[in-house]
Order: sequence, then structure tokens, then C-alpha cells
Amino acid sequence: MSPDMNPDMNLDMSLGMSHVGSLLAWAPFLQPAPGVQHWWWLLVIPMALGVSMAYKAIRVQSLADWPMAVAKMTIQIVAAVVGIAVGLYLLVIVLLPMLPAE
Amino acid sequence: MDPPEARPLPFERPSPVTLRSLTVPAATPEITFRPLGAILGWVFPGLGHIASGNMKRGLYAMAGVLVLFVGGLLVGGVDCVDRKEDRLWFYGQAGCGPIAFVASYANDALLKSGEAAPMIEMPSYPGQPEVFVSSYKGLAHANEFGTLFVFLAGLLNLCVLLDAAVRPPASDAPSVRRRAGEGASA
Repeated sequence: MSPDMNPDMNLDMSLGMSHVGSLLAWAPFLQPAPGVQHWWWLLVIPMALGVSMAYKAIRVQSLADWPMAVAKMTIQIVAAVVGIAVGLYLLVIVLLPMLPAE
Repeated sequence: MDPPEARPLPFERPSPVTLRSLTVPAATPEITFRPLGAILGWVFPGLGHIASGNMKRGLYAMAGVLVLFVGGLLVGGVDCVDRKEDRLWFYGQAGCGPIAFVASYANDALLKSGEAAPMIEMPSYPGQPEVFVSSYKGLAHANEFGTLFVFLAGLLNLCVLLDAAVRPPASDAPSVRRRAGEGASA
């Protein structure tokens, strides 16, 4: 099917092109990164990675264990954040609306 | 007749309790604090370890702190380090050392001066002076995450530089690890 026939696909393509355009016009370190407003939640991964790298560098006894310790701690942090997000979603969206209004 | 011997009360401890005995396990060796390691660790992340002979550990710590610091500047731009408008955040960010001050200076010199991008007028209350900000100023999630990344880099670098101050020099060398019983194969 041609993109001209599907307005949603046209919209997606135009949004994608606008992201590409803003990426090309981006001045790193001066401007905020483009697209962060939409994908901000993915930043938890580099955040967990950086915290794990610095923390495990001073915690591991043998530096040979550092890569595995970093990977493990990164996964633990991301899993904990996802778990908290799911728990809060269930609380706010599912459980609280079940309570009586009065 | 002799007076009866004083018996210790049930809640009395047999030996004097010091703060150190409560906080530090008995097997912990004496720790020597080397201020130079902490100072070098503040001058640049990981430098305290490198200067004391723990090169690899210093490079790993440096990589972790710089991932957060550079990542924060990429996400939020230099606007996320601001010692005047975000003073409380900057107290933590300053743990990164001079690079945080350089980023804050770049914010002043490039963004707030209008050097890098045109200034735009912000809405202001009637009767109040006009407010102009850089069109590159970070807003919302980009600014929040950039600020948080650099803040975490500063806090973690404080941990790293304290570790550099108390870690024995050249303690990661293979011969030292063998003496300590680490890395022994079965």
C-alpha cells in the first residue's frame, strides 16, 4: 500500500522525518538532545549503567569481576524501576478507581 | 565484715564500648587516609586512583563518572549545570570537580550571554522587568534528566575520591592480590 493512501503512515513518516531533521540540526552540549521529551523514560538505562560502572569500580575486590558486576547491577536497577512503575500503575490506574467515591 | 561484691547488672557490658567497635568490624585493618588521593580524585574523576598506582580501577571509575557527566550534558546541554539558578543541584554536581565549574562557565558564556543562540523574551508579570533566555535553554524532561545525570556523577565521584583516599597504593597489582589470597585458582 502506498503511504499516500494511509494518513496514519504519513503522520508517522513525517514525525520520523522531523526527528531526523532535528537530529541533523542539533548542536551537542549546547542544545538539549532532540526527542528526549518523547523517550525520556529510556534514559533510565544509561543512568543505571553509569551509576553501576562508577559504583562497582570501587566495590569489586577483583577487577576481573567488574563487567559482570556492572551488568548485574544495571539489570537490577532497571528491573527495580520497572517494578515500581508497574506497582504505581496498578495502584493509581487499577486499584484506586475501585475505591468508593465517598 | 566485708561488703558484698558488686555484681554487674544484666544490661551492663563487660567491656567498654567505643564508637569504633560498633561501626567497624574487628577484622578491619587500620585505614590510612591520604588527602592527596581525595584532592586528585576531585581534580579529575579517577585521577586519585591512577596517581596511587591503581590505574585500572581509576580508569573504570573515571569511565562511570564521565558516562553520567557527558551523558547529562548531551541530554540537557550545558544549561543543566547552573551554579546561579540551580544552586542546590550544583552543590552535588560540584563533586565532579573543575569540569562542573567549566560547564557552568560555558553556560554563562555561551547560552546566557546570547553568544551561541538568540535570546527570546519570556512572559513576565505586568510591571516586572522583561526576562530574556537563550533559545537553547533546556526545558522539562531534557533539563531534568540532564541535571540529574550530572548530579549523580558528582555524588558518585565523591564516593570514588573517598575510596581513592583510603585504598592502599598499588593494591590492584597481581602480586598484591596473590598475597591477599584473591584470584587463586582451584
